[in-house]
Amino acid sequence: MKLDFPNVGETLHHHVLDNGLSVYLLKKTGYEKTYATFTTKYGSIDRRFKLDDWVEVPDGIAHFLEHKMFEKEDGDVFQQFGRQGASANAFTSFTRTAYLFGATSNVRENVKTLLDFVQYPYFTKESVEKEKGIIGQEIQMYQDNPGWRLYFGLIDAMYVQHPVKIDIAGTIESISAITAEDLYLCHRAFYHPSNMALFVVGNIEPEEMLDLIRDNQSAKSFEDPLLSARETVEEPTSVRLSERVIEMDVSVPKVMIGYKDTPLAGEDGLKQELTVELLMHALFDTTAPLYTELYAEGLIDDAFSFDYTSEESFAFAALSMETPHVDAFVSRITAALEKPLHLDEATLERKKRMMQGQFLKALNSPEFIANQFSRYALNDSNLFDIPALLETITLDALHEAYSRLFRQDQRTVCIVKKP
Amino acid sequence: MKGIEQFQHQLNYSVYPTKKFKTTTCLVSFAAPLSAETIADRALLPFIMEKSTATYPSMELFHTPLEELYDASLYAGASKIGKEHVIQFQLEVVNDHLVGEDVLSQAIKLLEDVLLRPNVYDGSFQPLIVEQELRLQRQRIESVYDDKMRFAQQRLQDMLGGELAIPSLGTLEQLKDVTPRSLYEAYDAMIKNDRVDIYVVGDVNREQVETAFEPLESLGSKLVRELPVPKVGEFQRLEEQQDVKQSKLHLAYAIDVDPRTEDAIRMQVVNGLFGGFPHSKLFMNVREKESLAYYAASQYSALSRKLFVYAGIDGANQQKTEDIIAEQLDALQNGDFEEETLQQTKEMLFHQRRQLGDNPRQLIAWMSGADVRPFSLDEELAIIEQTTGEHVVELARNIKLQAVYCLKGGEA
Repeated sequence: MKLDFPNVGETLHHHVLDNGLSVYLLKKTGYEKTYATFTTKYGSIDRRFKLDDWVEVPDGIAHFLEHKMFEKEDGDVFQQFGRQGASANAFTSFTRTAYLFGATSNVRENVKTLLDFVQYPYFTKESVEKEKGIIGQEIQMYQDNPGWRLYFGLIDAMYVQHPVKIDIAGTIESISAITAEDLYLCHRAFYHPSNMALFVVGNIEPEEMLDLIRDNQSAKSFEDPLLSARETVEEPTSVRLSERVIEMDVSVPKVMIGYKDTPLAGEDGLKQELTVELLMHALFDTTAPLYTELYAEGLIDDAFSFDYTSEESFAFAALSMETPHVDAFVSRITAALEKPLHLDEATLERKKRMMQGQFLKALNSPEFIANQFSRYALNDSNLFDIPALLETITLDALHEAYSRLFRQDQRTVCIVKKP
Repeated sequence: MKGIEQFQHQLNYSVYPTKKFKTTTCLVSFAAPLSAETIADRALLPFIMEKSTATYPSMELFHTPLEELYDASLYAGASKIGKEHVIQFQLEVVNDHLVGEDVLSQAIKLLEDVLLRPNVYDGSFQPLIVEQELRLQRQRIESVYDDKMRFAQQRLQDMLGGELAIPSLGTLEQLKDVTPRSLYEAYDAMIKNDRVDIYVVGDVNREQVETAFEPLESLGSKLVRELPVPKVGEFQRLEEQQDVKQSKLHLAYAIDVDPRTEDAIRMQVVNGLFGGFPHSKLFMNVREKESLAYYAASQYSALSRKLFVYAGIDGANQQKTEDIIAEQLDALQNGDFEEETLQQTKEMLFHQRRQLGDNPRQLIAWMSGADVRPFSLDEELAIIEQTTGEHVVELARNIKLQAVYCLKGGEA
């Protein structure tokens, strides 16, 4: 299927193969590089799921599996990509694991390598044990990173049940329990083609690329999908803790204010995400009255940022700042958000133009297109719907989002500071 | 890169006309000799200039038209490049035809406003804004402490002295002398005395660029870039303690290679074999074979004639890690590496260069090094292709360990 998006000047080819794999191809005229991502809808939150019976696996296993996929009987796949002139990588998030490469040569070989290594698990007791030292150092590195501790401290304090509260890499203790058998099990459960999306963008001819992918996939046999359910937890709308302080040797205290939201799936989820983003831009950009006030008082500056995270089973807004005056910053922000919202049509229109511009600018990046498209596609929504959806969002929708989201019992404040 | 047009009036222009991007990106760069006396003022100046102008005298007033122009992004920043201090103003806007409006020329007017009509009164920047930004700059300097990798690298560079030891933000001590007046003087010196280079990548032609930037033609001077003169002192070692879980081991090596020569390009191959990639000796041995680290890598800084190695390790393994790093360099010096690995390194370097043209900012960064790098992209690719194992051995024997810094865990 060929889909034209003339307003953004891109054409996307989408096909679902017989084995269930979703393939997306996008030609970027004039680009030297081709970038490909092979993504499974499997992340750190998938710790309990049903095959024939319910299974529970150690925390951090999705990330551990991502590391171990690169090692094969005949060596390291990184090296194979390297010999083929490609730069490979992978990442694990709360909800996804993505394997990727960028290459300016041997693109066909590299696409085959990507498909083959992710679909061919190979783990041994020895190699699993060896990885525990490497990931152990990765976990320690993050433990020394105040920004990371702040972010995960916030999420842990916000959520009562939801496994988003668990560190993506797990802990040194939790990963110590991981075995080769666990890894095989998770691979069988979550790396079935019907649970995955392949995105290839850049210097390609879509028809030829599709043939290559189809040939590669039809030469392999897959068992029927094993995964029959993922655990869903009852998460209250209110937060677990309203405040948490983490003591670390930092020069400047860091603070995050989180507001827990009610998640939505599919296109509704995308629309909610865009609505909250428009709202947050209107409230917190440098042009907003609140920003101007706090800047004059020395309570806000370039260190301030905000972000909205939205997935099928969790959603939250986060405001982040570094300042010696944490208490004043928090009380000014939270007090402002308890007042009624004042917003005019002209501001909303300006914020829409701004987000349209941000979207168009991001399309320069094949990495953005592949990563973000895959994220939305695995949540049953479409990245290229963003420009049209933005235009449908009304002032009323922003008011509704404001009163739903910025509530005291949905708020957590997390602070990292010196003992 | 084929298709780059370079020309000079009072200012130096590099223009790459292309329709492949959704945006047009412009960079105006002011370069002056690096000096500890001026760095604190010059490091703060861009943060102040990007926030308001005489026409739009507050952040709210200045950023509103940028938002209206489909989020035209206008950023200023400062950095050290070799012996120079460079202040850059970057503008990125979506192409006019995508939104059916004349965005680019309006945005360039705002950029000119920043450069020519800053928010000053009576020979000083606005005291209130300066006070805010000074506070923030102090915080930025202090928070280097919170980024342990950056902290350790800065401590290592302190040990090396010269240009490397000048912190890019200046010091807290130097910041005490920064005033609304001294900042204006730094601005005035910048627009009169700096070398001004303009880079444009996007849906434009030479005539459009000349017309659009004509108002800036009165700025700048014909300053010629000078290269650092390397000094190599006695070997040094320093260990410090902080309350961290992971220790940071940073090493500096002296490289006696002129950055304008073919050998400097070949050094990229040596660095690639040593620690530049996931197939490199450092990654393969420190991480994959011995499981000592999550990251272990090297970086070649051609202008400062140094090679840096860094690894995040368990403090108890410091000696062992240093020994393994030394063994990897020995191996390169003895020609102990596979032809296949050499080829793989070249492939990765080719890939890095070929993809430059897919990202406007990377492309501009590459274009901006052109005056100290006498080779075209194709020539560089050829030099890499023709690099032999003998070249690698000869250059590796030129790598001398100069300093070791370790930030160790435990109670400070």
